[in-house]
Amino acid sequence: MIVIDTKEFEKTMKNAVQYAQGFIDGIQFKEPIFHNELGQAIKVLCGKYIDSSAKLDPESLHHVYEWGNVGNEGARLFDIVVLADTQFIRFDFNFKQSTTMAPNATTPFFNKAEIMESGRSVVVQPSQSDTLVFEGEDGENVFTTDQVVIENPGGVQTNGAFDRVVKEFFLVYLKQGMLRSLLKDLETADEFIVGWGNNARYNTGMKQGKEYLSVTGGIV
Amino acid sequence: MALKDLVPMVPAVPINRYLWSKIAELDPDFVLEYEGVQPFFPLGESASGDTPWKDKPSFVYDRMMVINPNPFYPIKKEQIHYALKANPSDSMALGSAIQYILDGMDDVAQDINAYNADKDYGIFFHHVRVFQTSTQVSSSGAQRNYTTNQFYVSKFIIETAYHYNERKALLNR
Repeated sequence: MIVIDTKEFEKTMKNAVQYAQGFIDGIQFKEPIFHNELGQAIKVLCGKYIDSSAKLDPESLHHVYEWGNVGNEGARLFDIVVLADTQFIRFDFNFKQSTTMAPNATTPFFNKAEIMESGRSVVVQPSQSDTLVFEGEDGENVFTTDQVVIENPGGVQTNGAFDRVVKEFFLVYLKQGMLRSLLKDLETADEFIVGWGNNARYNTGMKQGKEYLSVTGGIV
Repeated sequence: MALKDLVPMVPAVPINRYLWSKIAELDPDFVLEYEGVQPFFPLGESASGDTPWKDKPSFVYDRMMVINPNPFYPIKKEQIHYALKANPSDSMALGSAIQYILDGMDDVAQDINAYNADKDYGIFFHHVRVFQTSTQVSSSGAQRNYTTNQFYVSKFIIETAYHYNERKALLNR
């Protein structure tokens, strides 16, 4: 009579199933955190993409930065807010008030980014006297009692330029420049194999599942 | 020996040199018009100036980001943002040329390494790829408005993975 001891086999199989279950549970546990990590990484990339676009084409995007600081991260006149949950990652873009003054100005341009982005005209009229004084195109002072209408205060190229660059980022860059490599990494769950072995248990599976669903690497 | 001769060169320099040489191979007359200058200018437009390149296509580039994609830190990935400023026909031709010349992953990286072997730049490329981000059919048409913007601005990302080597100038010092 031949007797086969299956205890070891059963133990190994039980551990393997528990490890795999732990891996899946780890992924599910990590999902909302992963969405937040991904959202934050996209936010950083988006900011860098806009800064870089502004430096390359300042005439179009100078309006979303403080005066004389086009493309400078610290001088942005926009905020990117990320909201992430299990089902979605949402990005909100808000314009901020400018706090610096244009050359020869005495007060900041109110709603600078929003007005120049929308291409709204600006009406300037004297507030503390009857006469408006400003420097003309030839460098001479111009005196007028009339109000002055400035069409496209940021130049025509700023109209809708921020909207365009944000769409460009999400519709073209994001897929090619970031998600492509991320999805490639996720195609193969190397972390599952790394944790596999004699010590494979539910807890190690869960740890490896969390590891698998992570945004790794740094951006400078 | 100055610092710039001792530390590794930024990736854009050997890439630009290789790209310009390949364009010269394809169209020598086009390159001759630049009188020995490679029309690749770093950072803001102010670096390029308007006068010499007013009627000729030019490139402005920015090191958009350096990414450390994995824990093996010596290999770095970098994305360089290029803006090609040119009239419509040159924009199409040069945009196509960039992709034709540089979008070849490790084959192109090998060619760039070989072409710049005489230069001791202290950098070894693993792969290079290119993708265009604007002036595509799917993007907004505003940048193609010839009445307000006579020059197209076509934007590309050149993505490369590389590692630094010691430069001979540093080793022989």
